[in-house]
Amino acid sequence: MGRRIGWLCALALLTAAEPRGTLDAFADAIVERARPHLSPARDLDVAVAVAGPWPRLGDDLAALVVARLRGLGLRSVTRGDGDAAWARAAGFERLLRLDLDVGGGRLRASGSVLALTTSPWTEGTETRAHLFVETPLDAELRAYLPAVTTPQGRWQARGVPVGDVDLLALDVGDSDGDGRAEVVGATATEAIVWGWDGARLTERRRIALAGRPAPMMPRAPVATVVVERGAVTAHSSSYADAVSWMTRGKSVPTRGYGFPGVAATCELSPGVDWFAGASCAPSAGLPERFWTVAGLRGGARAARAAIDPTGTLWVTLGAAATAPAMPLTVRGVGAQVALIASDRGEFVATSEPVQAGEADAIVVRALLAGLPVAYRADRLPGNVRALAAGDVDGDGKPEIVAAVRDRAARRTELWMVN
Amino acid sequence: MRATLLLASIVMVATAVGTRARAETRAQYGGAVQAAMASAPTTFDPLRGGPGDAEVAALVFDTPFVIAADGKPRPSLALALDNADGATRARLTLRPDVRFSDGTLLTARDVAASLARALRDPAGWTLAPVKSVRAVAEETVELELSRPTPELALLLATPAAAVTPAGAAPGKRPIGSGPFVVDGGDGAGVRLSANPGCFAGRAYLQSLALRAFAARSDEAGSYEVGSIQAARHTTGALDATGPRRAAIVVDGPQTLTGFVAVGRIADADVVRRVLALAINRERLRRLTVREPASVVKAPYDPGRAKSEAERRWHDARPKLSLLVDGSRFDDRDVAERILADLARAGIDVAIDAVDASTYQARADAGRYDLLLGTVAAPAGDAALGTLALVAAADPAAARAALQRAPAAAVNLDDTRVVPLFVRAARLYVAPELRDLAVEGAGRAVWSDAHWLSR
Repeated sequence: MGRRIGWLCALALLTAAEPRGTLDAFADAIVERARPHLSPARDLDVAVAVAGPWPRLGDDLAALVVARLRGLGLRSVTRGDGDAAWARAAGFERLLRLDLDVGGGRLRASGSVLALTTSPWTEGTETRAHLFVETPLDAELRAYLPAVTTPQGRWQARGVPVGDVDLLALDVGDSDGDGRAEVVGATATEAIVWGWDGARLTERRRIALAGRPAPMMPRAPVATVVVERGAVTAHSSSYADAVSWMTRGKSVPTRGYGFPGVAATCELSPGVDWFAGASCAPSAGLPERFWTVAGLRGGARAARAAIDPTGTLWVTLGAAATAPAMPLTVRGVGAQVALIASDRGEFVATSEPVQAGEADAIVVRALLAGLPVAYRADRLPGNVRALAAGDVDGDGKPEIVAAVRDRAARRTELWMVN
Repeated sequence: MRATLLLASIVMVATAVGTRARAETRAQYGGAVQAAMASAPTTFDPLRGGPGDAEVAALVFDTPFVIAADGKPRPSLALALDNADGATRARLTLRPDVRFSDGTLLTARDVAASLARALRDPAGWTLAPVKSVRAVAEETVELELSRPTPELALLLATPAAAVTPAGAAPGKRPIGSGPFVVDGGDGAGVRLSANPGCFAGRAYLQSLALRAFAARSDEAGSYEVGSIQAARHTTGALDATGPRRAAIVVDGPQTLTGFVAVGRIADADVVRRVLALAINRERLRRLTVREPASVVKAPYDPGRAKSEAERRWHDARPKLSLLVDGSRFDDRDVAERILADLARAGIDVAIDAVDASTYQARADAGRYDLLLGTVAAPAGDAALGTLALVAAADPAAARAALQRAPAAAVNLDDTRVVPLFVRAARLYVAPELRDLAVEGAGRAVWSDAHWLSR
């Protein structure tokens, strides 16, 4: 009889103690960091908002965090995917906001604990703590992430060194009227033209971006460059005006910032690194604020991609006024985007978040519902500073061109992905 | 004994390039940070104050040039400097449309008046080669030089060249053109917010509160519980067990020199000699300095120090006080070690730890027997750093030296200063706070710091 009871007890213990998974430990770590900022616990109603491109992962993590916070004795804990204004209006005293992203083989949650008040005497929202938790991706976490879909034909990436050039923008187009496209890059002070000689990129021309100094600049320089119908227009935030030149022509100052494949000219907002949609002419279809925007050249339909200052990628298919935008949170994106139309289909390329000490990745997504990942170039030798698309090698098929810079080594490579 | 202390050679390890956490993401605007100061705030005047004040002044005021990451001067308020080889007249062209945080235009008159104030003030010794300055147009300043000054751009990057409206000394709510504006402050800290009109770009952080702490453990504990996001000190206990909260260590270059200055007291030269021989610098560095540091090479001979003291004072042990800024924990630790070394040499020293304001006032007035301090190399330049040591006890001597020739190696035996070690400024930074660097003069560069996400 005693032995039977012993077996029953062991069985009960085995079934009761489920093994703790990676996501449980991840939730524990988040709650551990948030806990000091959630006091006095019994007086607080807390909302938990988890955002990320993987709904099931977000749901499960939110549920685990909510359960743990309830265990701390908080007055109430609720899942609610709204912003601070919503949470304040809904009567919460704290909002725990988390954004999920994946990079360098790790799942990362970054966010904040916001204290909310409706008092007219204090500021409505106060950041009590910034949270950051990460864990390596294992089988459990990888099961949450979408599978990579590979369209016909294999993608490949290769790098070509171009020296110590701190590129901020790229475009591909025929800048000298010879019928072949060149790569044109812009730094904070100059524009450089490279041509493909069959094996490498050779420098063809260098133009100084001089002129009146900009009255206000962003803290980190911003530049754009566009090659359109034989004319190159480059603009750096160090200067008030852009510089434009035609084949072998003299450069002349022009106004505004242009973007590849986008028939609009915009202005930087004073002192910051984003463009205001309202400053663009024409402004139709552009986000209220954006770091960068690119349009599809040579595609069967119009398409445009922009990254806003929260790091969210917005893709608009068809005519801007009629087609809905597809938002995708790609936190940590270095604000680089390019669109490419090839015989394999239409794609949007972005630079993706990285881990400390690790390099950026270039992620190519098909312009289809859900933006499935078509290709991912990891292990690049630095951060992706600029992206563009065009037929660089003259084989009739466009490539994605990325300026990859290792800041410590002061070395830049142009990577071609096709 | 003639130990020629060529600090410049010791500081060879130092570069003006600050270390910086690697940027992986594009910076986003917004968020608040609380952080520890290097010393308690005493003034907003860029010509005065301690290391904490210097950090705040660099955030609020601009200079014609700044030191870039490669250690070279880069135009900031200036657009160009016309300073021909061998010329004793230079022209500074300013950026147009730069505004102070109150919206008024920053003109050549403001720059000329600010430089002129520094020329009159002993603390403005880094501008010594400049004889006079005047605004000759709305955006042009003319400088008359006492000698050809090839290093003029570097000198115009030092705190003495900071520009204030009409060159006036800042009051309680200073107006500058820098990336931050002062919202308020008291003896324990300063509250700043981003200056949206800064010509060099809005700072990424919306607000920044810099605090001074009463004790090392308070500061380290505040970091541990997340009340501050950047600390300058940890405790010995945490060093041993490891911090509970992760931190990125950001070290600046080794350009901060710890020193003891001898005041205008009787037998100052003997006291200086005894001090120089009696202090075990290597032990001092090992036991009190946690940051990367090099010891100033000088003979350590406690026996000779003792015999020198006995020869001069016989059995009557002199009693001196060592003035220490109580808000600098490092200095308090160093003072205790020095005390022991000097007691063995036959000099009784009492530590006179005072608040930062009193320390500054007494240091400026020379009211001390011995003074323990730290000087930063102006503009991160090692040669200027050596002269800064001279200036710590005698600004007029530093001014005279720089007036004659560019800063170079100085024989500190002829001064009242005993250098001890050259160390880096160290910050313990929350991992989610990115791109916080420490520049050549040991100040945290808050204008480029940003949160990983909001």
